[in-house]
Amino acid sequence: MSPETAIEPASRGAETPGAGIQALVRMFHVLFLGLRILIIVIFVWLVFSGVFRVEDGREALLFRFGQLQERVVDAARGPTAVLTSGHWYWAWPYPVDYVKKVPAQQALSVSTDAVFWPRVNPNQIQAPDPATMQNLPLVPGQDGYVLTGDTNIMHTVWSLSYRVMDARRYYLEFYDDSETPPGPDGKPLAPRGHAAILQHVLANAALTELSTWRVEDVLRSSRASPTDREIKELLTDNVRRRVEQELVPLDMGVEVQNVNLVEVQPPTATLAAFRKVGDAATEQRQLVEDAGTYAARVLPGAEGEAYRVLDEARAYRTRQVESVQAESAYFRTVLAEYRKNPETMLVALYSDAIREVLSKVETKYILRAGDDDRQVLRLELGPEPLKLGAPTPAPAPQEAAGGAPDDGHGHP
Amino acid sequence: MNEKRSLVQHWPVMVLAVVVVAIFLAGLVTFQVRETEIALVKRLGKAKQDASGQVLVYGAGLHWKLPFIEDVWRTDKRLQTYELKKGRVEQITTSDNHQIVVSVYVLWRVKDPALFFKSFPPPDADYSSELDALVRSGRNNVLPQHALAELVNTDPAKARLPEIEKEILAQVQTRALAQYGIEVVDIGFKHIGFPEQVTQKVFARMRAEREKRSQEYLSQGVRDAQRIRAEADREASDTVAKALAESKRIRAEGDEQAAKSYAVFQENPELAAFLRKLDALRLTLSAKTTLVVDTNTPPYDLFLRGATDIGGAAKANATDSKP
Repeated sequence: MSPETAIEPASRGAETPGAGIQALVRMFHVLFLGLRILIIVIFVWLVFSGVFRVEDGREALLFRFGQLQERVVDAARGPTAVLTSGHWYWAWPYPVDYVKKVPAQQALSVSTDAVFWPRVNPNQIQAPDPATMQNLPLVPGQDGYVLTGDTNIMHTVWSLSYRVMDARRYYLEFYDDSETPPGPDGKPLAPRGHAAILQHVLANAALTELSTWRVEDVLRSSRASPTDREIKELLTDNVRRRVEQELVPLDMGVEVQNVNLVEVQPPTATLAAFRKVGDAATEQRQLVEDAGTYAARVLPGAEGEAYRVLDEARAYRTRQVESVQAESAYFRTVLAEYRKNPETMLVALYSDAIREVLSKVETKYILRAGDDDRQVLRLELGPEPLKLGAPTPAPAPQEAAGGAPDDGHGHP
Repeated sequence: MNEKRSLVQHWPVMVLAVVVVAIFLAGLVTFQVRETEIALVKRLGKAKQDASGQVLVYGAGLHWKLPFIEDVWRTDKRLQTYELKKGRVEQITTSDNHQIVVSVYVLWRVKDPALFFKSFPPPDADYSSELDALVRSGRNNVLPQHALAELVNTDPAKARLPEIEKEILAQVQTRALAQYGIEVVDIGFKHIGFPEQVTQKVFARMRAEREKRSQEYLSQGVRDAQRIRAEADREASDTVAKALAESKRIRAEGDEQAAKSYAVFQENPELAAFLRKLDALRLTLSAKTTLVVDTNTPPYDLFLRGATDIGGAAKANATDSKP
């Protein structure tokens, strides 16, 4: 290394303080420039982060330093704190302003879930074994059920759908579980807000209503026949009425839309017995229907028989009357002629009758009358019909004392 | 000149610094209370009071406090629900000696924050044990005075659950407010049941009742079916019997009308009998009849000698005929 090169750093070091200050000043300039940019960014953030929109199906409340902000909407409606959906709004960032969005104008629902429902779901028991099921206990605090008016046990599930009509009351007067911090162990605490309150009110209404019902009527409400549907409607209407009565003094700002009985099941331990009742009820209906079918068959049959008997009687009457009337008319005519010429009339009638009768008869035997009117005649009566190809049987043996056989052989 | 230029040049930074310091100071000397909350200021371990000795209760808004000396206690003032925890499955004996298990819920809110915080100091403010004890006490005092039939009954007039709930509420309400500053708005039963061993007996009874009901259904079915069949048979028999009676009447009517017409035959009964005989002859002889007659029978008497001699023979032949 040469001496000149060794001296170079020393000579540069003499100039360093001025240059260093300048560098520091430049650095501060950059820093302040950065801060100015940061301030502008913060300002822009302040302006734009406060912009928010209330989504459909929600309403919002704006709090400034904790106090609810009333807004003048119009002269007619007056100030309101509720920010309606579908609009853009602006608020200062926290901690100045705080916006709470509340689900409104949309259907929400709560269910009694396990309040009246057991751990072992009766619906999932495919092939119940009566012996095992009979020993299936219901443990208080774990298996839910409800007592009916006749002290029977039933499992039910109820649901309640509702809508928030007054977001202000709903949020300000009733606890909101979404604001509950986790417990000391980090787990969420038991709900105590809107949904829990409504679940308790629903469970209480169902329990109170069912405490006056017979178990069979409760069970019928799970069936589909029109009568059973009416029972279900009555039951759910009564529970709904009780829920609404309970909510009136609370004034939660909600409107009950529907109360529904989702599930009804007897306890698993009595399932077989209940099914047997169901089978018996079906058999009862079958017996009655069979009897009805029998009646439907017998009654028209009897009516048909009655018509037949009456028709025969009417026909007999007509026949009888007409026939006798015809006979009497004929008799009158004949009598009139008879009176004029009795013998001729009788002979004519007689001859006509004989001719008519004899012409009809196919087999005739004419015997010569003997002097003493005594004759012996042998006839084969009811001969077998002739078979095709069979030899022609001999003529019926006949013997007429003193009579020629060919004389008595008539032909049709 | 340079200093003035520097101030003008760096005002945003200075404003930022002032804002940051102001926020920091505001955080130290102020506190917010939300609309949903109610708050007290604690100074030296005690709630801050006004000149008359009343505890100062802070509502919604921004409030002043002294830094490091005063602390803020706040709680939710909204209505909330609480379900009994410890006494949830406790057995209670009704006045008619039935063992039951009754679960109760409470609707409550903080009414007197000073008393509430005194009873349940922050930060835990755990009220559950005391509220449990209070509600259990009310429930266990009231329910043994009632029979099971007052809790569940098929006669709605006798089932008195709402009234019993109000009795418990009356017992709990005053004490909760006086002792803990809690306003109990409502108390309701969430579940009424039996101890585990009792449910087994209930099941046995239910099974017996179901068995009885099955038999009733079957008996009713047989009875109704028999009734329907018997009614059908009777109705059918009635219908036919009525028809037979009516048919007899109709036939008799026919016979009666016919008899009136027969009267004409009385004018010459012999001729009538003769005509009847001719009719009988026509009706009884058919193609299959085998007829044996002798030559005395007209018209076969024509086979006899002297058939052409017709003088005075016609009447004799007519009366002598023998078919």
